[in-house]
Amino acid sequence: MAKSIGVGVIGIGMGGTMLPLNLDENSPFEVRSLCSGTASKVEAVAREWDIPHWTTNYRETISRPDIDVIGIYSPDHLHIEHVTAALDAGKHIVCTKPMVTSVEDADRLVKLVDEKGVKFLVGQTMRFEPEFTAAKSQLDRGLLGDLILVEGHYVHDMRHVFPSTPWRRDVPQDLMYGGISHPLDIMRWLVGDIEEVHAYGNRAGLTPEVKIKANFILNVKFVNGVMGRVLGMYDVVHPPMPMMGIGLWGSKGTLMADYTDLKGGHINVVYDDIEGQPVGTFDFPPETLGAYGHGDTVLRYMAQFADCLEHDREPSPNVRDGAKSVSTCAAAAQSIETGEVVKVRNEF
Amino acid sequence: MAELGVGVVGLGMGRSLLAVNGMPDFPATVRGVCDLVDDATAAAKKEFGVEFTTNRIDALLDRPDIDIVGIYTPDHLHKDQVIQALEAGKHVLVTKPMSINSQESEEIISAVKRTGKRVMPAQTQRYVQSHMAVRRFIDQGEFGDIYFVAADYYQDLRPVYDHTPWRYQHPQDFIYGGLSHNIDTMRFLKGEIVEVGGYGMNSGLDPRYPEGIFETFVLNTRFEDGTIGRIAMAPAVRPPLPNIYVQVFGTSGTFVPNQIVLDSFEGKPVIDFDFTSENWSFAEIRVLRNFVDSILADKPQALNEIDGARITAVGDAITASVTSDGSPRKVRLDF
Repeated sequence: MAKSIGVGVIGIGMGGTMLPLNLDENSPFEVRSLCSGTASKVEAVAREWDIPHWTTNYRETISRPDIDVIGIYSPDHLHIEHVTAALDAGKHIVCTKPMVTSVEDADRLVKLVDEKGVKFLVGQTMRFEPEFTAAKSQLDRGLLGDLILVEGHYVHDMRHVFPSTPWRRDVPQDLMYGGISHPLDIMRWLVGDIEEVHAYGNRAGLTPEVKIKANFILNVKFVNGVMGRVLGMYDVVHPPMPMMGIGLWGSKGTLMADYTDLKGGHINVVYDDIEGQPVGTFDFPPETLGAYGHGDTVLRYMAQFADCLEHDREPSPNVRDGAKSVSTCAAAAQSIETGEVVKVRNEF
Repeated sequence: MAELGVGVVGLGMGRSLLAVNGMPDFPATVRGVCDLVDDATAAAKKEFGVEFTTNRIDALLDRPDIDIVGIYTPDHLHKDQVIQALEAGKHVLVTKPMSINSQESEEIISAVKRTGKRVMPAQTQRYVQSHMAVRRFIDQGEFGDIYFVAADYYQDLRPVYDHTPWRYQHPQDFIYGGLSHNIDTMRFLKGEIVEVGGYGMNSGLDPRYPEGIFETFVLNTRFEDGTIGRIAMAPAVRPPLPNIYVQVFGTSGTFVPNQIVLDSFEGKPVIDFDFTSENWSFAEIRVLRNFVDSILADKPQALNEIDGARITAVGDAITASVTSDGSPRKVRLDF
């Protein structure tokens, strides 16, 4: 396939997972510019991958006429600046999660994307992991019956991540957005919009310089009446459980799907109509490409994005999905402060 | 060496205790049983050598050779039977829940004061091997400061309804009959729950369980020291998870069934614990053993009527939350 769509990448840690697009003959995308805060690092990566342009000034990447799509993989708190600049330049956007870290910024982006008429994909990796897409397929085909209860979790001992991404410790990253957006987005994908949330949070103090809460439990009620809950623990001794997981309790079956970086995933499922109700287990082999092993996932979501650009389809998750995840996180943060149940804004 | 005599009322769950009659070193013997089903009492006599059988609780309570009465009847009968046994001068072991509202708890507490006899709620989860092991790690300080404890309860209730139809006929309120397992496990591992809130629904999975009463729950909890926890109960199609799923997260270690990670080990290996397979009967017998030993040694038993009242009070707070807007409610602790 001709490399007809130019891509500029801001942030080359997780953003480095876009580079294999250049080797993918089935993809129309070609990474043509890299931007990173560290001059020596961006030059080395650009030379290694034979990328014609590199810079430490994101405006250079955004303003290039041979670039149609900007991939934004900068620290969470910089997304709003980078996305609005790219939108102003009329570029299509792929933005890693969390899209932004406030409802006001989410609102701005929705309006700006509408105004510019560009495509916007939130890079929520869970939606593109095979065990979770398989779980959605089971649900959508009715194999689990009517949903009763859904849960999601993402747990991660962040002490292991700070050395390679010190901004998470030093800014610090607010993991209510940076972490909880993973399970919240996939639960929204599976069930629909969330109506209200109650949450508790705390910090364990394992990284003394991080003063904000980084452990969260959420109860949610969906607009369609299904109940759910979320576990997100980041100030934590790495628990002996999969990094990410969902649980679907249905009237005809119960399904647990999980994923761990570089270790692959599983589905364990029990169908009510199989006599003896054996636990069926699916093993999904590890994927190891790119940062944290998310390279294949990024290729899959970029394939979807190519299709959206070619056929004028709406990406999933799009800017409104991103905004609703952000507003749910904001409602949970508010609940932690007030102790009360908080309604979630879904109108964007 | 049997020193105390035990009488068991209700041989569904209570049957678990009969095995002590085959244990020569156990300091008590089941000397009487009471059940409405004659086949059940006859089997107790034949298989476990129980001397006295009846289908009238007062006949059992009249026996002078019985010191402890185990109440294993449907939840809504517990309060009257516990008080009746106390008034008859017996110590009482009562299966969970001790009571199904705080008014009942108050009546039991007064009866204990009046009679000077003991009540022990048989909260078996404290005596499940893996939970005892977690408690050991906590006590030894290996998990550091605990800041999160969760206890979920997953059970396909349809086969349970088949052999205990009272649960849908009366019906059982699972906020007390089910969640008491989760609640006491969390109390055992972390301390008193002071605040709880969340959502409840009727799954509709079994049409025999009446509409309008909940058996599916997601709850957030807060402990006395401000740390947090959560509870779920899902009576769904048998989930591929342990029946009781406990999580304990501390500043230097974590537990999920049945694995731990300790920060002190370089490389943070996951340590697997492969416990001997055993059914709940063993936990029931450990509860009885604690009660008997405590009575003989004149020491406090692991749980008393105040514990039972506090577990029920958490249930009352859950009821208030799930039947209104889901906001958290304070738990009454002053019993």
